[in-house]
Amino acid sequence: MQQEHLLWELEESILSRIPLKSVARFRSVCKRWNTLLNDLKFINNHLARPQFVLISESKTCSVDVNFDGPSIEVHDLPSDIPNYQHRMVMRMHYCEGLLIYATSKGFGICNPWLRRIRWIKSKPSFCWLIGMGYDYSKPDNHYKIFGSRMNYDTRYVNITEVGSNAWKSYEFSSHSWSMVSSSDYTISLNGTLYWIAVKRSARQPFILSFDFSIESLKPYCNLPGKNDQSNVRTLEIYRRDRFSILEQDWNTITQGILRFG
Amino acid sequence: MSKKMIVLKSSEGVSFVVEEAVARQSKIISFLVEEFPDRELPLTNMTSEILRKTIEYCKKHVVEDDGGGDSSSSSSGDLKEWDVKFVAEIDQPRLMDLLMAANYLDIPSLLDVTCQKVADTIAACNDEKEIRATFNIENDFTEEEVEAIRMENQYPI
Repeated sequence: MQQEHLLWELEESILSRIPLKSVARFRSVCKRWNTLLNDLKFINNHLARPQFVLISESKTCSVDVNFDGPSIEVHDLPSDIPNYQHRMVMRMHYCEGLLIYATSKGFGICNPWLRRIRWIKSKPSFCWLIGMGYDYSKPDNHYKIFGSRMNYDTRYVNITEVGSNAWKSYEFSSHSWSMVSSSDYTISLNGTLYWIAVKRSARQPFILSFDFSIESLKPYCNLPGKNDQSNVRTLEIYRRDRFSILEQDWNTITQGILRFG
Repeated sequence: MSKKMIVLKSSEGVSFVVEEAVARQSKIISFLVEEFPDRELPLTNMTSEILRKTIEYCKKHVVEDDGGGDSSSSSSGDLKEWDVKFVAEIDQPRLMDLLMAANYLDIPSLLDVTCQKVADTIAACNDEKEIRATFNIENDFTEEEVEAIRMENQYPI
């Protein structure tokens, strides 16, 4: 019927009004809806609102910002993971809209838009440096979690696959680098993790990366200057495809910004 | 001065005499009355029932040009309430027809309220089967494909 075709045109407009939380369960209505609701462009245009996450001592909240009002909406993020206690969360990482909580018993992956959390049990070893990324060479993002920990003077790296229900975890040792106390976190860009590390031998600060497509550590580039533990360096993503480092020299109290990539 | 009237004709050939200001909320009619003044406008794909509903909506929403730009906020609140009641009283198939009419005649505010009502109806459905039944959508998935989506949905992506 002619009228039904007209409706297809209006579908995007109608589906964009559905609360984000309901969207996932409507994917299986028909192929067209599935395609539309999986389309990142559609999601960004219609469903995703600016949001930030607030972590307090007792709970984690997502705060939606509506610029039209302007107004904000605060939602508690779920913590319905087995034996969960808020203080168990020791490290947090952000990767393409997902939050990863690292606890001593495993990982929680939280989608703050849908306010859902998935709990991944891992063997009890606590990694201070964590991050999530994916193999960018494959079309569907199979997320993997990277964790790195020190045991005496050996640094271990372990990888947990998130793509299916079967968790694979493996570990290898890595000696040549150490972490910088002022920048003990990773950032995720296009599936690859980056962080500031120091070469053990030359005490040279550099950016180290973990490429999930080849599952190995790769030095990205050296940073100027010698490592001075009292200097503060923070790494961030600049304009979605480059890096920016804020550096403060403790002796001269000068700050500098370095942009590259 | 008497108000200018125009004639709209439904698919059944029923004529509706409407104030021009009322009908001009449709961008299409607004264009047509300028191009073809003093002509009755045939709306061959709209039934009398839907055309009557559309006119009812436009009558309520027509902005009286009384010179004073002092419309109070309570009246816009009342109008919103009226809109909600208006779409709530229409059954599902007619709501779709009205949405199509709003799209065809290009009446943005009517399109907005009808789209919202349809979206609310979808959101109120419990599962995909209920949606398919309500909106007469054909299931073009195999059992395995539906199962695969269900599996994917278990994980926050």
